[in-house]
Amino acid sequence: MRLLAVFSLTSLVSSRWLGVALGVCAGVGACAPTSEDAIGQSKPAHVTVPAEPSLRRLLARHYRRSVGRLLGSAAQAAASPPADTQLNGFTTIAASQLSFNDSLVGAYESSARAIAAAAALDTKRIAELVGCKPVSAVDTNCFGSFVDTFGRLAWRRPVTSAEREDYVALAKQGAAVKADFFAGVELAISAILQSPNFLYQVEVGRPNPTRSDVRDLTGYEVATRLSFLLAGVTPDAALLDAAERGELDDEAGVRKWASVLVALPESATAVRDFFEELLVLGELPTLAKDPNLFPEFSPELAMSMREEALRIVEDVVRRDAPITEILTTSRTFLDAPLASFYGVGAPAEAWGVTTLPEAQGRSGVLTSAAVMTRQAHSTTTSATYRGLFVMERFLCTTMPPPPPGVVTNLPPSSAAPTLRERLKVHQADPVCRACHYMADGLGLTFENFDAVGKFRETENGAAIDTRAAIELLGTWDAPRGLAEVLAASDAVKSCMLQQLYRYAAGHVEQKSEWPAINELLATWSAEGHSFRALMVDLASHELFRRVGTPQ
Amino acid sequence: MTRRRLPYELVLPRRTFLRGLVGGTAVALALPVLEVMLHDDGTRHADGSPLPLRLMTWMWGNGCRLEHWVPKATGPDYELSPALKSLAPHKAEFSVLTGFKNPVAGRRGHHDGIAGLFSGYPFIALDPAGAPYASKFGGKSIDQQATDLIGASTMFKSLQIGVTKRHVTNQGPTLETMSHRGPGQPLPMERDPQALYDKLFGAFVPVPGTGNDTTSLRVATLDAVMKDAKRLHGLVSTTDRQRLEHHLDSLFDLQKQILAIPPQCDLPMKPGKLDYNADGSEPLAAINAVMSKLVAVAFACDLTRAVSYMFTAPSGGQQFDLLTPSQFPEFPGATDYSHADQHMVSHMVAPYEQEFIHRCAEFCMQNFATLLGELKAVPEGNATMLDNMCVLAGSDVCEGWSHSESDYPIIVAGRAGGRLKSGVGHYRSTEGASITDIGFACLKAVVPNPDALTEYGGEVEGFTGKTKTPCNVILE
Repeated sequence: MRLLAVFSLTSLVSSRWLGVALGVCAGVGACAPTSEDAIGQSKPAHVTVPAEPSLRRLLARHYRRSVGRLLGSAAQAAASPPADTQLNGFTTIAASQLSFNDSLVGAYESSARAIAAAAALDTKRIAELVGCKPVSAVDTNCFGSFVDTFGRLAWRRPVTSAEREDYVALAKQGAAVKADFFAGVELAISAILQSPNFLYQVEVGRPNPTRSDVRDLTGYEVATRLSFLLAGVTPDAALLDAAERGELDDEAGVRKWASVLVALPESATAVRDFFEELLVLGELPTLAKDPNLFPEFSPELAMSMREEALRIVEDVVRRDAPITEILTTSRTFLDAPLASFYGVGAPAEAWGVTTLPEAQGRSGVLTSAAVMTRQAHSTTTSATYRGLFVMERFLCTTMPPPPPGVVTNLPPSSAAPTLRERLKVHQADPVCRACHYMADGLGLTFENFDAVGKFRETENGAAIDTRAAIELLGTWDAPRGLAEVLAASDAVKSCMLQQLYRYAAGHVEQKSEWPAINELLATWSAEGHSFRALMVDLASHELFRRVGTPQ
Repeated sequence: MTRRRLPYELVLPRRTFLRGLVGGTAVALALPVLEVMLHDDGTRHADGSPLPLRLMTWMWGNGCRLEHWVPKATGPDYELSPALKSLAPHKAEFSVLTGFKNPVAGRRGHHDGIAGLFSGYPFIALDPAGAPYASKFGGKSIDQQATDLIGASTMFKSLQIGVTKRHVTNQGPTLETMSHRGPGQPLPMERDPQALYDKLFGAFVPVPGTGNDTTSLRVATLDAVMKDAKRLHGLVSTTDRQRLEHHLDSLFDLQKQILAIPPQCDLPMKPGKLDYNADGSEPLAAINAVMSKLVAVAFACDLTRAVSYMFTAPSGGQQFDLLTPSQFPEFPGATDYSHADQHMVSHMVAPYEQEFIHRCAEFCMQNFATLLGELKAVPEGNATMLDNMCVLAGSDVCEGWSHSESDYPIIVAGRAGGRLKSGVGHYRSTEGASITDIGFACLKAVVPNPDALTEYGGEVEGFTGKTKTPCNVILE
């Protein structure tokens, strides 16, 4: 803490320094800022070198939707890709780092075979993809036409002649067995969907005319990045055609297409994808809550909670309001079960816009039942989880683990009825306080919401105190106060951009990428912090259209 | 293609399996004529070659209460401690090892423990400033090290099984699975008994309307896919080249599985669906009973020789729904934690909460006893399956409340074909030997050429779990 003290409170709350000062509380017992420069800190212009490319496995949701776009809804229903895992808070980071294994390969094989079998029944779509009338069961030209068309759509780039030859040979082998051309098509579909060219987002790029340390992504690779980030699905034929025409080879062209994509309905899904991960809502429906304490909690209600939080975000994004409004807004969206859970009347129309009673003091996604439920134990609230959630997700900082042997000996609730009183040990012991002061302080703000996010005024019969005064952040009385502080903080905007970049790029930002990220931050500021503007800015920035030259 | 030799055909108590596991329908497969393949003395194949040995790792999460775990006496005649009492029927078949330390402690308790105990390598922290904490294993887990030496010829090189689904999913691969082919290569655990059944036996159930053609076309498909992966190989970074090699290895393994001749053993019946209970808890004991049986069958059919088994999860939120307040009459008016996440309770340092944690460990040992019972029930020659394997069981922390790392609860069961000593009973290391010494001994116990192994574990980013001194106390 000694080093943090050099920053004055007021300057931190309103400056980008917060993320810098906090972003280093990462080593065991070493809560000290580094003297290195960081995101948000103004520095002389440096040259940006993007990270080297990494093969990224298609996320399960991208795989499913892409199969739907390529082969129709029956094929999509037959898809069963393996589940995703997370690293550093995002599935995209894990997908870019982890390797395939036997279990994954087996799952993709079964999935591809099932998809191909289902797709074969959709003769209309198959006929479109084949594009010619086979003259025999083993019609080489006609198979070639199919491999060219379907391969290009599935692999998001034209098929090379060597690849064409291999897949035509395979299709003919499949056709020969049953003396049926379409059996060959089915086999080729299964193979093309098992190919690394489909399962990975491949980025090879091409040499940059002036720099040897970076490579420019090809138009097709840019199309792929744009489509998965902005639409959550494989690029459609129109976007691939644009890539083929060279329309994605410069910033203006990419900006134009990015603006088209963020206006499409698919974009709303892609935004939800990101926020579902950012707000850690994925596992909500399988969360366990003590049925004796919380009899109203069920997987169905949890799904409604998740829907509410995502609709709050969607609403802010659609209105192009500053994205920080997701923290402060009083607009919310409920279905009947959730309304009854919150203790209000059912909405006239499910998921129509509404507000919750003033007395509950709700504030955007922060106090949504979804977040409050996710960031709690199965029987009680957790100030540490909730505080850490705010720190990690909105301030881009984290807390080191407790050193081994530390006694986390909280007194029983009979002796200390409220969590604030029980957590006083964290504050009294300097070892604990060094890291807990912020997490607990933030987390206790939410104590009016129990482990499933229901409003309460007392705990074990004692009044709940939600006031906080936290060094570096500020003071507030209740969640709305905290939300205002966060919304006004540059650190939060900087963090939002960092998070989107991590998610979009599939890695935690590298130091060599900071100059570009700072540039983006400045541009975004001038645009009133609209999330869609940020998506377009990021997607069209050089940082996103280049990769480092692989070592 | 040569038919694989399966020494267990003769001795597998197939009627057991025909009675079924939990429910479902029986799968009838024609049984080949059984051949007598064992040597007269029942300890070798007829041709004198040794029976295969297997390695299994078994873990439960969040540790124990040492005061109820560590037996009071040492040596073969020790009295089982309260936490261990349900293992009484198998007391002759396992050693209790206490007083062993993690050579790399203090970085992140639960991560330190699972990595140290089950791989010998310190974990790799993925912790860039401000991003949520994550870590991955620093090297191959012990089951994968064993797999390379004993499992290459089996249908599945190894199996990964989990019982609880309430495992931590946001801290990286280290806490998600006990099996890692290497850093960045976590092997996911199968947590659904029906899916495990399908994985093990699904390929042997003939699908109507398909024949050898399907097999050859699947193989041809994978050939095409492998060719793509090889073409890509030259275009990507060094890191990605390694990842593609892992991908290629797995494609090759799948081809081998497709081409494999089904083993000649009886199929058990497919288990019924076992998922969350209506109240959100899990039928842990029921899932464990089915999974334990499936493990025994998989070994008996020689489908695999290495299994990792996560009963409850490190730092996990598993619920012990049977541990209601009525089970604790000595604590009148006690809080009901039967639907609480165990990790949370583990950090509550009051007498009742810590008694609860002890009872969780006790429950885990009851379930470990179930597994040992299954393994012992399969005769092999004049011994049992358990006699031909090594089971390394332990937890990710010593005591959960403090994340302590200096006295892990560890059990080594089985005789590994006579390589593991019997009659050790309880051994307590007074000098705080390394937990990696135990892993080293377990690996030596099962590999074909133990003398060739001169060290175990490794170094990662300046931290080392490496050892050259196996725990000789348990080795014959």
